[in-house]
Amino acid sequence: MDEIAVKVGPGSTSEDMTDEALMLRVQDGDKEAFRLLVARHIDRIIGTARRIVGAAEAEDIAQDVFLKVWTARAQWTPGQARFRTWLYRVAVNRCIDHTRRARSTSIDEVPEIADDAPGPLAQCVQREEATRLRAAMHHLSEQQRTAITLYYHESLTAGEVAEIMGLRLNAVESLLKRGRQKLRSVLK
Amino acid sequence: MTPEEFRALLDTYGADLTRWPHARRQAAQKLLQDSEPARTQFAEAQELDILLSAAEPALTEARRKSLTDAILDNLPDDPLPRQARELPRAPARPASTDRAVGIGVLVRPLAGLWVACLACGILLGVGLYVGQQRLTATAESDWTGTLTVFGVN
Repeated sequence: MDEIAVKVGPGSTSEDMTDEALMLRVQDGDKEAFRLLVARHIDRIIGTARRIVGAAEAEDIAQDVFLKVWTARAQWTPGQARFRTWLYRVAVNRCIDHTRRARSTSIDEVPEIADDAPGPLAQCVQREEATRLRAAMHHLSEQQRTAITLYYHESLTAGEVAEIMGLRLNAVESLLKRGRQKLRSVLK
Repeated sequence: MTPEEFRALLDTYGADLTRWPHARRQAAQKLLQDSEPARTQFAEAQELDILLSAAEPALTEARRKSLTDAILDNLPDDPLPRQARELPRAPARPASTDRAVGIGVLVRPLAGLWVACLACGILLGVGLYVGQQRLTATAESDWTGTLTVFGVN
């Protein structure tokens, strides 16, 4: 694994610090460092949760994910995993827990709520496309949805997706292929 | 590269050829130069890539702050921060004490049994002593009687 840069220079401000350097402070109980990490990643975690479990639960899930990161912060080991990979692993596990608990809910019953950010026409179009894609994503299996989200939305490599999901690389490649084939047919 | 293999790789890795296995990129580019159907498939795949990689609507600044505050407000107190874990531990007991503790561990739970054994031993000893005294007295008495019968004494 590549060596992970941990920038903790005497002249560096907290905003300049890498996730890994902030996480070292978080492990010492530094709540302000944790605040920076949350602010830095919460949008992407909510976005990931929206695609995997749906918009209605995404913010609650993101809050649970960061609380879990705080309580389990001693488990993160610098040099073993990038903070981002570890964060996504926590997020994916939380999404899977949620989906398993809510499995009795039908796909057609999954609500799609409007996002709260007001904006110009471009944002409306973006929102419509995001809603259309989320609806299509719910035709995929949970694993296909997770793999597609991490690979495309989060721009992770298939290897990183495999690491986060705890699967072999060829299993992830198969999920990506079948998921994309399904999306092509649903979005036609 | 066959059209079927191209389709399969497109479905697996998407339309960004830099994410394809290095060994297959050149063959894919050759097929794209030569095949109109491949170019059509590639263009469709690029559209789907754009949709899949499109950013989700961002949170407003106020919403992000509100969620971050809510998370920070709900952080449980951690009894074991890293600094605490690194505090020097209490010095270990000397080895001789450890050995004493080791024996104590064996003896302590059996203390009742040891006391009972001791009491039994004492009772048995006293009983044997008393019994022997009586037997001796009886034997002496019998022996005296026997000697008397045989005219001794």
